[in-house]
Amino acid sequence: MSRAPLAYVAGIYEHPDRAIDDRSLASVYLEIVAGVLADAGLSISDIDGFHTSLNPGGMPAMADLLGLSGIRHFDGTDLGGATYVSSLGTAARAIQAGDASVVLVVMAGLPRRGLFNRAVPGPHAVYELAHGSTLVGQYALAAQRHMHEFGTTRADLAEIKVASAYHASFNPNAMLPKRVTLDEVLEQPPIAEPLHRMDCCVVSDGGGAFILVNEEVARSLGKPLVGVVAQAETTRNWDNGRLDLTHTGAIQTGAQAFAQAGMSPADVDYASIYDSFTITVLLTLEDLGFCEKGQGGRFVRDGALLSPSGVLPLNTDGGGLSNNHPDMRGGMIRTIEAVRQLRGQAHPELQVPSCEVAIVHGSGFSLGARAMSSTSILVRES
Amino acid sequence: MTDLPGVELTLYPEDLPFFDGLERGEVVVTWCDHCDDHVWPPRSHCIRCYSPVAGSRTLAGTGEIYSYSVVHRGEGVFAKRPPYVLAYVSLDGGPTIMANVVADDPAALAVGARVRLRPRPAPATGRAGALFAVDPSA
Ligand SMILES: [Zn+2]
Repeated sequence: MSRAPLAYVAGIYEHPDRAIDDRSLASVYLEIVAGVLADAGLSISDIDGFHTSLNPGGMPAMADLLGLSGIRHFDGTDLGGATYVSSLGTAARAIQAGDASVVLVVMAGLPRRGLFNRAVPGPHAVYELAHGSTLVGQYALAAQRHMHEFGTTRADLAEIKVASAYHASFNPNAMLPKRVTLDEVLEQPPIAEPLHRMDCCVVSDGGGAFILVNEEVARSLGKPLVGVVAQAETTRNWDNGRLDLTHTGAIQTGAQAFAQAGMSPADVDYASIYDSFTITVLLTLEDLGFCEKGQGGRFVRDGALLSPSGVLPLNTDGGGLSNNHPDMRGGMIRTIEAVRQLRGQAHPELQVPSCEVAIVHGSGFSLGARAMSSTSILVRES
Repeated sequence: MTDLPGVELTLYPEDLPFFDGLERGEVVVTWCDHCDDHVWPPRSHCIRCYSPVAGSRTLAGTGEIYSYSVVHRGEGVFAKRPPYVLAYVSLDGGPTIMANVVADDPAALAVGARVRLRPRPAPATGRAGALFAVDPSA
């Protein structure tokens, strides 16, 4: 690798529960922070930077809840599902600048109870609401257009769910731990055609956290060194009514991230790609450069995404399609699983041998237009 | 699939040319005279030259389907209704806009199919969105 890490991931924690009915959201945040501090071997007084996104009560309430005093660097940016992948960059750059040395990045939500963090309706919501647009419908429009332009099939999309379910079958905490066949995916009822039920991610409670630190702190902790070498983010807009639903911001963020890292897709050992829907993965893989535009359907066939045997082991925790999707912001859990792979702490059946380079991609809001992308590249240092 | 609900919408001056136009059976888009281009979705200012938008233009009301989805799980007033078609329609001489589509022959529903605005009666409550019908002659 040609670039020294900007910062290091010292701790990770994924809340084990998927349905939390009897506890407060505040207690879930506290459990997560306790977990990530224990994993890192740090204490709350070591934290001097704090990231979350939309949150209950605002940043001061969250800092107060968690007992964070003396924070020198805050970031509450909400990029939807791209959030937290983006924190790998913003927190790392704050560490590089000396604004902080130990940054806590935490999120939680209980959407099954309606307790998740969401923005007010956007400036052009009326043009969507008037036509019964839904979140699944917007992704379905991207999928349909891709099928038209490139001949992608529902079975191609189903391959992504089959791989996800296979990986989830090794995860004792996964919300949907049962393996599924291609035919079972195809037989599901439609939600918004061409997307059917198993093309969609789960709705789960929970959350997660990671801690980013500078090199000095990282080397003092005696843990495997996982460094951030690149991160880029961008949006795709409606572009004044000239939208293009078959391309995502990953074209830009992938190229930028690989250039920052001095790498190419061929260097990647493991990929954590946000899977809000199966089509999200397919478009992202094309745009990051793992295959040519339009060839995503062919690329994901024949077990390409299975770990460790496939050409690109992907989402070995089961992803949002089968493991969890806390607070509708999957970037956190995608990041955590990439760190597990680089540490050699993934499930033994799914651990990528000598995993040294991982890519993490988050997608926020819609797909193709009014959409957010963030890409990071993480490396294992010896 | 033509039985679409009216939707309660909070509309501002920049939104009215389009929604009022639909009630007359016309597709009206806000227009920047300086750039001689549509401004879509409607805004108070052009996002290229940042001039205030004063005008609008009535289009032919025809176009083609850029993409579509048969939505089986609607939300809000679209919940618990029969499946309906959500689409992006690329208007002749204008932007690609979100809309609903009806196809009298379901087999004719396709990306690239020609469509024409199908005027809707004013709903009992709320506002009507843009409904297009597949029409090979359009
Ligand atoms: Zn202009």
